[in-house]
Amino acid sequence: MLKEQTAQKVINSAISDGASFVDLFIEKNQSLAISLKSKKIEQISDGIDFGIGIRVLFGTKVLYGFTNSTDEEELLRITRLLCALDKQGAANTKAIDFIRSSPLQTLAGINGINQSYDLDERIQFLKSIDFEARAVSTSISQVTASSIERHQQIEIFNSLGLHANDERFYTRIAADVIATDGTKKDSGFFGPGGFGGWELARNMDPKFIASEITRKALTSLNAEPCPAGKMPVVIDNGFGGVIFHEACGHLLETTSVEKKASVFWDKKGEMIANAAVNAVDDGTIHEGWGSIRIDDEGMSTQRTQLIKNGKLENFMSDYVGSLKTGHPRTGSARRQSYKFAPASRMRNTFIEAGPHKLEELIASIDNGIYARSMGGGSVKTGTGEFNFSVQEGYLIKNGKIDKPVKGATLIGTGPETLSRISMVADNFKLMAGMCGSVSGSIPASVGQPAVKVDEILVGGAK
Amino acid sequence: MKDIIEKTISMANDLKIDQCDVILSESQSLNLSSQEGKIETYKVNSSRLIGVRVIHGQKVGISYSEDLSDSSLKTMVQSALKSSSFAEVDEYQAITHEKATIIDENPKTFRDDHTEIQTKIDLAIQLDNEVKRQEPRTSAVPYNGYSESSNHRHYGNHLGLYSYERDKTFSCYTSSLIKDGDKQALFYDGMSGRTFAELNPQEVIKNAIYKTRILLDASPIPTGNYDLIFETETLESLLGCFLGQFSGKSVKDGYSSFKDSIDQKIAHPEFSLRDLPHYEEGFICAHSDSEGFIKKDLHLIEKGELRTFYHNSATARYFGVANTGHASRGAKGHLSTSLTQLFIDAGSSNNSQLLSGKTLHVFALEGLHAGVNPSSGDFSLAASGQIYENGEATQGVKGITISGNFFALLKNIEAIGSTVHTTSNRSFFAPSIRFGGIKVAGI
Repeated sequence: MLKEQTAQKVINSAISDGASFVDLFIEKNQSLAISLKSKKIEQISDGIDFGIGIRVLFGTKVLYGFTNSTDEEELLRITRLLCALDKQGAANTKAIDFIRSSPLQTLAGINGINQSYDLDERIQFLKSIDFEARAVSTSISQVTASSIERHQQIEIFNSLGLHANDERFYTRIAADVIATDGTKKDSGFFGPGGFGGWELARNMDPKFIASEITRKALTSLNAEPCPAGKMPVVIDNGFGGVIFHEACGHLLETTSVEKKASVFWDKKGEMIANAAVNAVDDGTIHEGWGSIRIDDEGMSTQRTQLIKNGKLENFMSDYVGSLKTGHPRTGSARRQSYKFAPASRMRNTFIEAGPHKLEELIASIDNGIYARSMGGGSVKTGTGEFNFSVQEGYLIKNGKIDKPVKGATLIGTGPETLSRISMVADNFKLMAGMCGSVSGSIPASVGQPAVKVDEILVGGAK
Repeated sequence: MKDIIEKTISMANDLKIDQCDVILSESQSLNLSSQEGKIETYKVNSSRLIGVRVIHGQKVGISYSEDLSDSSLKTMVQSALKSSSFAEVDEYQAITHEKATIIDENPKTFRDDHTEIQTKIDLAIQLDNEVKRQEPRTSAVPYNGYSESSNHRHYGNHLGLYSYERDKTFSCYTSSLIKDGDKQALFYDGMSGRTFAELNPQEVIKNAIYKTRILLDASPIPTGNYDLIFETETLESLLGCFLGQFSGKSVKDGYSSFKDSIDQKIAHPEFSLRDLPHYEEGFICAHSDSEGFIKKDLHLIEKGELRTFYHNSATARYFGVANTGHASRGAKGHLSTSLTQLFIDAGSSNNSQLLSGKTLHVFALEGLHAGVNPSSGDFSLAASGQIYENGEATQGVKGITISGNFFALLKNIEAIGSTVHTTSNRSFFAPSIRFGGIKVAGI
């Protein structure tokens, strides 16, 4: 997308001003979004984003700029502007011989939007979700269904001679319903997605998507407010993994570790969780929503064991994070687009399967909460304080699932909660989500089998 | 930029497209952050984005591009037309605002500022250094920095309407992570200004440290029902999650519970809520909306009664009411609605009435993106603040959740203060309001 000669001139310009490292991130992003509401296609939109991000390092100081132009003069102007304040006189520069990374294997069998695509097929798929959802109950008063597809092409040059290219395909279906009963309303959401083209949607069952969203909405519509207080909680698989994502994952990114803004920054090699906990961040999972082949600094991605039997094994690190902390890079540099400098970020992050059955976890509790489906959450990395919401929850009474409850929020701190995960089930599942942090909003999977937390503060209105 | 808009419209005319409008946005920004007394990041950004909406045979298609070359503009228009052919008839969306030129170069929203870059760098470094100097227990200043951004928004349609608005904002923020023995706490604070000189970093530093010290010694309170007073920032955040209930689009789509509530009592009789887009004390004052219509001041709730919804031209047409000029559309997106600057009118209670007995003052809410249900009105959120007893702060509070329902909240108002406060970014104006009997989960 960018001429090698132009990349060379831009990088040389910064190096000759004394920069210690330079990289260019060139991105072309094609997107297609279709949404259906009130049984009708509400919007079809598409477009192309294109830009180049220029990152210049003087030691660990990061200078960043971007432009929509591939014009050599414009790129040089931005680079000189970035270097102006830190210029250290002419350095000894020589032309960089870029070494192109081995071409990545062609992605086969992907029906991406870079090829001709069938809008009718997509529209019929969304209409099927609407039809199936409305067929579940007359209380379903509104259905919204959307498909979001992206084809991202990236190219990276850096002053160490790296030249890498890749392309990424993302497809996600997002569906929600409103259930109404008199003046009461409630909603349910489900958003499966993965790394791949429309063939992923072809493997999804509209009836299953409809059953997920309607079950959540109808359950909440008729639920009583959740009781408040400290109690044991079973958090089920899939999006339940948001607990680990918030309570621990963000705290293991060098983005927070490098500032000592993580309670785990000096805990490598120490027990930070119950010995029942094994956790991984894995960029290599086939069709994983958070999967990548190379990261946004051009490094091959990998599977990173974060916690093994409760002990902190590794952090997730990017180039700058590695410079600042000494922790090795893990192919975790990610960003929303060329408008953001890369940072260490999660990919597909999960607690590994354990030996128990879900029923055993439930049976071990006299009074508690079963969080079947989770919403999102957030964390203060400096203190480890997190919160996340329960989308579909039930009381547990005498070892059995009891009435549904609504409006529950779980709060706690990462270290405390990790130490209280006492049982891990065998029903592992991943789910797609969007993760927001310093380098923007990126696709990231969360996952886990069902886990039992012995005690956590549950917020509710009862 | 006007010529690019005209060129795009001309391309649409060549394709004999019935109606079209174009949004072209430009933005420039500078972001600085510091660590350990040195600049850590320095980001200079500039971007442009154009988007077209075509309505052909009453069907809508949208496309956008970051490349403003003629060939890309042509591809964009063709793509929007193709998309529209797959859409279904939308009898309410139409582009009808005729020829006019509205250029709003309001000097209050876009002021010249010639502050040297070194002065801005010094400010970013000062935020880091001063927090550590003023609070020696600070173990890190994880979030701190300075940023400025300017935005230019051009709109044009096939009937010859052209409008242009711009704004410029300066802001600074900092945080303090204090550790003392086993205790630790973090709070961050920021402020915005229309000029660099309006920023008061000392105030930001002082508030960040003050709140962090409260949180350091804070603890959960017993589970139970409490009367709550939200600080202005947190009240804005909480109400902001439910403002869609007043949107004509939400009512049309069946998301709002207020559909049949016009002129009905939905809030405490002293509670009045207005949207004042032209109020120049606010930072997001704007002249025209995303369809080029002049925004109107609105009384959403007047003395507890729901008066109106906010509309774009399509929702106004659907309900057969006047357009309120609250259309919202980015270059990439479809037509929606949005509010601008909310103003809750002052009430009649003095401080002693507001603060009598025990109240919980909430200055931080977490998890707003997940812990609220805009449809049911339910919320359950992590919170921090202080207990006040007869006007005196007696205890810092953290590690709690507050839970309730938006519709009940509007009615369960115990008292409304007589002084209107604003947020640090001056987008929301409200007096202190005491809400009765909200469920708190703690120890």
